[in-house]
Amino acid sequence: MSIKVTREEIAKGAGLTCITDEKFKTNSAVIRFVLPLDERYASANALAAQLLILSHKKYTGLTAITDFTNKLYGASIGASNFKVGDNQVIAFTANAIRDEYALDGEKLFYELIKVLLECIFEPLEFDDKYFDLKKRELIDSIESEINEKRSYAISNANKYAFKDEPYSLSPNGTKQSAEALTKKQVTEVYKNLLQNASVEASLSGGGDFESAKSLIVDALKRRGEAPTYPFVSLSPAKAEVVKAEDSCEMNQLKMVMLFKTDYKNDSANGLFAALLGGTPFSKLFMNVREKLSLCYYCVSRMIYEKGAMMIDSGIDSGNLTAAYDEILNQIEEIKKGNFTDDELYNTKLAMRGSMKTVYDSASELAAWYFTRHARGKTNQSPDEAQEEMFAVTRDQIIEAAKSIKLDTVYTLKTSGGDK
Amino acid sequence: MQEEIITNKITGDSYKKFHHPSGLDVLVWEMPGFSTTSALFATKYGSINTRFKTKNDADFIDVPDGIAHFLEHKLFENEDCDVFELYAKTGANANAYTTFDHTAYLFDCSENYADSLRILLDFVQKPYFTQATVDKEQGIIGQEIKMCEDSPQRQVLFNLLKTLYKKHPVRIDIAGTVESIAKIDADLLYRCYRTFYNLHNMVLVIAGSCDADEVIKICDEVLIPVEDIGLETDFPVEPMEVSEKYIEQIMPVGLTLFEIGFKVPACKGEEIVKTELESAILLQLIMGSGSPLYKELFDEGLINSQFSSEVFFGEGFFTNLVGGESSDPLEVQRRIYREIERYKAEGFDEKKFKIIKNSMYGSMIKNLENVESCASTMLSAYILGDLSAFAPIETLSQVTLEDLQNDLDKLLNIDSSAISVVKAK
Repeated sequence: MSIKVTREEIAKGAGLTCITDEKFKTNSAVIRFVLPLDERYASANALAAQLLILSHKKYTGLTAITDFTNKLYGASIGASNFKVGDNQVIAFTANAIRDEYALDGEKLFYELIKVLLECIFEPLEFDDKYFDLKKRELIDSIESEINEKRSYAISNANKYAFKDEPYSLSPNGTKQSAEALTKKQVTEVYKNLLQNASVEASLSGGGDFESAKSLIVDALKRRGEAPTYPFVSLSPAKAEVVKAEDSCEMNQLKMVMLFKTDYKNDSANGLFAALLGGTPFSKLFMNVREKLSLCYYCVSRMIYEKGAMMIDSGIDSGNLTAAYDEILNQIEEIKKGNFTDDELYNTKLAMRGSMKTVYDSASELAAWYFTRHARGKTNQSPDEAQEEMFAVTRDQIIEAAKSIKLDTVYTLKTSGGDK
Repeated sequence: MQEEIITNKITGDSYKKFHHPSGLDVLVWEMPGFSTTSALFATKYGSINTRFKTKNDADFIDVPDGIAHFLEHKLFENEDCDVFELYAKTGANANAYTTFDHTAYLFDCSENYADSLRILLDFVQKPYFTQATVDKEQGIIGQEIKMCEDSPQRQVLFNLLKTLYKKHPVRIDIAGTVESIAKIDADLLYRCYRTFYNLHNMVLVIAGSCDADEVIKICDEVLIPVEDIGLETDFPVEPMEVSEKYIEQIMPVGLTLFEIGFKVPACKGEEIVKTELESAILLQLIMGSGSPLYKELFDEGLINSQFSSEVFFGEGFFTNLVGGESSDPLEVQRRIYREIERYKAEGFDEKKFKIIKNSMYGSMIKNLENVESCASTMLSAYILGDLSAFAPIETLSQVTLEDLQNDLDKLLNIDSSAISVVKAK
């Protein structure tokens, strides 16, 4: 393995991580702009990101920019919008095959990054027509959240579990906030994003991207200083468990349970969540699904930035109470230490496997180092993280289990008609 | 043992193909520098194989829909434990899936690949089911079927297939129906297992961090040689007409979802590769995000960025799909039809054609840097008729504009098309 990872502080509030491994046949860039997630600006940030890709001074509009990337052998350029902890992340991405595979010696990645940076830093004024279309699309995508019942249930559960915290919000904002957007407001929000967002950029792939890297470094230096925003903000457990439900015309009921923890050992928390319901031989899979046939899926995972653990499940309506009781029972079993050394070791093996897999994907490596940075573990490699995880003891798992407190139970019930 | 090296003439990548004495074909792609291994042990048995005979049967037999998928679930249970418990000791991430034309058992891992490979080859060769375990599985699969019915994306596609295909079993959901799986019992499962899980009907593909000699040594140890039973599958003759041109379902969704399908005559072997490439280029030229039609539909707000196309094919079926979200799917369909007619009359632009070809070449190069996609590319090419995984990238340069113009009528035939719509009340 010949991987090289470096991180540079380009300016205050702007970092760049470069990851190279010769085995990769492509190069990728991700330039992430980070701001606190705020219901007043979330929709506008989301829309601005989409508009910037269509507002290049030469390749204006979708057809022109697609034509440009197609010419670069199916390169891609795009923007996405998501949340990490209480922050909103607007990520601009670009990916191309390495120059050595170009049939006529073109400088693919350099050309691509140049255009991506021009989209971000030197766009044309937003076009009225594209503004209206992309605004409509944002509203449509908010309305279409109901299409995916599993993620829809999780998103609804978050509203109760993280009430009054930014994490409860969708990074797209609400239908109302999207409908109220004006071009003037989105333009102002874009200017604020450029000036006040912290930037975490990554370059990853086969390498030979020095000239493209210089373009990014220069652009970030020119931008000057910006504040940084912490990603980790632990959510307090509520005094009483909140129980909430909605209904939807569908076959399979969804239950989402959220727990909060004040135990600060991330490795132990992650391992506990995996032992409970993160693998196909976990407590929840083997008991709630396989032995008792109470659900089709039942999975637990940590939301590290919020100090929370989520269990989400798809259940036949008649089994709701039994599934709920059995999930809590399995947590009690771990609290009592009723898990074997083999179960613990095998869970560690599975987690080590998934961490090491990261080394074989340039995009996963970029995401890995960003996530580590967000959790205060800047530059921690998958190997270092797995060593830390492997050192977790049985007692620490029990402590992690004892530290979680049930906070919210959300159920998306089945109904014969509309809610 | 026969050994063949299959090389990508453009990138220099290569993999080895062995015909193992047990009857199994084994494809090994060693990828230096990669730390993970991805392996799939697959049988040419998918949801569409519901009618078959072997050289020992006098006549073809028909079995209920959903058996291939049911078998996949049941093979994960050994006599004494669940297969996941075996993999737990090696750290591999294991799974299985059933498609229309094959079933695959797989793992990926970053250590102990040899141990995981032994588990994989061993458990797939050792079926164990009783009537009690079959009864229990009916409940679990029933849940899966219900969960899929809640997905509008899945419903819009399967409804389309139902109306496009009058007879071919691709019209039936891979998992079958609650009613069809109720007809499955342990004896029937054993019969299907013995028929399709014969090593002569199967393949092992493995890519990434692995060693071909070691893989073959493990095959020598674990595989039990079997006689070729002369399996034949049979499909009804599928007419080019569709059942209904329009099919609709009401369920809770945001914007209306649609999927348009153009039925294409089924083809085999290398012809599939060429037909697939031509279809993909045509779809990009006529309605890809760089096309005038896309711009028109997008600018008028008739489509959003969910709009996309796909080439969908397997044994006995081939369809070009276009789908997305729209407030007026029928208008989108009308404009697509109009544009196809325009290209028929006016022809394509040579420059655009070259750009799309280069863009597809780039996507194929991208696929070669990922262990899992290398393994799955070898598998899909093999399932299609023992083709080389590099056939598409090598055939691409041979596709001409003239081919496209000549085949446009066949590949985007309006008379053999239909639209499926899922919308809210």
